[in-house]
Amino acid sequence: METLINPALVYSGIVLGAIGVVIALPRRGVNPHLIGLLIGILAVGLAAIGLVVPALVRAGETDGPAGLPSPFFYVFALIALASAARVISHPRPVYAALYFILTILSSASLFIITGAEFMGFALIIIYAGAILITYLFVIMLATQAPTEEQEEALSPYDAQAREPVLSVVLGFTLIAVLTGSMVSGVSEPGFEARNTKADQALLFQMPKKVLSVYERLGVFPALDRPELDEVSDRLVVTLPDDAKLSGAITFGVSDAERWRELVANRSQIAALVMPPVTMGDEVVDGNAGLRDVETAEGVVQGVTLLLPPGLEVENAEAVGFALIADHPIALELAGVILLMAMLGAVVLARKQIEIGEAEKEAAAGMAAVDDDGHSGGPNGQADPETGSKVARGRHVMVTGEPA
Amino acid sequence: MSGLDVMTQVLALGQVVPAGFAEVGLVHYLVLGSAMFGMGVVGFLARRNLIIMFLCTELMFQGVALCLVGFGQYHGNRTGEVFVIFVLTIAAAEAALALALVVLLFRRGETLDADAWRELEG
Repeated sequence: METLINPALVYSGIVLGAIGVVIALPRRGVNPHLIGLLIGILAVGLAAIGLVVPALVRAGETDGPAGLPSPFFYVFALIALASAARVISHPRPVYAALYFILTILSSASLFIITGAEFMGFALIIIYAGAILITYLFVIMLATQAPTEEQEEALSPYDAQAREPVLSVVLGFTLIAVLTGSMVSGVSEPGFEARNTKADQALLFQMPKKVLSVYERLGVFPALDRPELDEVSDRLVVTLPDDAKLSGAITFGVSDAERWRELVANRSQIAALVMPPVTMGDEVVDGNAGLRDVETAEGVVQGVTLLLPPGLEVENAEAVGFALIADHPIALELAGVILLMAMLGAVVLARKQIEIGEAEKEAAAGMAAVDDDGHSGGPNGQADPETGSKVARGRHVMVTGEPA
Repeated sequence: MSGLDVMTQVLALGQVVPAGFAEVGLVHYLVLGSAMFGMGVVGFLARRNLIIMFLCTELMFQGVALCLVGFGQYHGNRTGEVFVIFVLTIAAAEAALALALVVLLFRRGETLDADAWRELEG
């Protein structure tokens, strides 16, 4: 189990980053943001060197395909960390929120380059689009309007951090512990291949998608011009030459029934004759397009489906299946939590106004008038005093009506 | 040759590691995620503005989300991403409630200073 990064490099990078953040945190008097930022960039650069150089060495040893590791990771990681540092060090809340949006955008990019496209876009839509807008609204609501003379003045609680050294020591010790255990404890740090067996199994659930890919490859137009095979009494369909197939999956009887129904509506795909497929140095019978798989006893177990090229499970589809098929109760609970949060926010943020007795009566009288269908009339709103009297008189009249 | 043999052969051929991602792996995402989490901790402890304190909790959520997606890619499944969806849900609920509380406190005390509510510590 090799260490990926030299631990001394990691820890010196963390110490430098801690010093940079201490300097950059807001304080009374001179505020040397720039020096703190420079030290922070130096720290990140140190960590990046620690990550890039071993990767380069490994790539050189194994004659890997890429000399340089993906540069986009480092670019977006740098943006994310720098803007995170600005979030915690910028004295003005609005700018902190905007820098946080930058953090969100760069981590969404990190999600996308690692293959989690759905999460990347969901992050942008939910976080940058909804949550951060809520923050900006609250910053707008909960800030004193600046007066003419002190337009640029900061609130004292924004201008000065609370115990900067202590909190930085705490936070960066946490970072050191986490990264220290990570750099020494992983034996195979690479990501797994995306198109795994489990992903391909999801294709059983999506017959329409598979059929549409077959359609695009020209399988179904070919089915319109079938020829009858003299020997086997089956329909023969000759596929275009470029309709090469790249994979195969087998599924169970219940799935097979679903497929057979779907296929029966389209055409006789069970009689489809595929061209021979070259796999490695072996030529496979192409007639396995969609057929019954029989055991020695002749029992139908399922159907093998050859996968044409370009037939892959998209990230959003896989996430959807994982979410709804594997975690349905958690999904419902998340909905309940959101509903509760909405109710709580409504109850908490409701404006509480102190109302005097006279105003309450006036409000009750006006409401009763409105219930009866009569409008308040011009003199109901012309004078507050007489209006309230008029309203009360009508209120009495209205309640007296049923008697 | 039975269909099962075809399947196993083809699946063995189809496992291709995407080019360019062989080098940036789990450790990179974990280091970045924990650095972001630590930044959030620092900000939560050091800043006194209530709104920025809650922004820093969102920063911590971001660090955790990065680690979860990294783990999901490492294991080649989507469970990490599903977890991130729930993290997003909780973050949205937390933001709604926390910001409503902030507005309420600001109406009471006309300040966003967390130290102004020191008497709540009992």
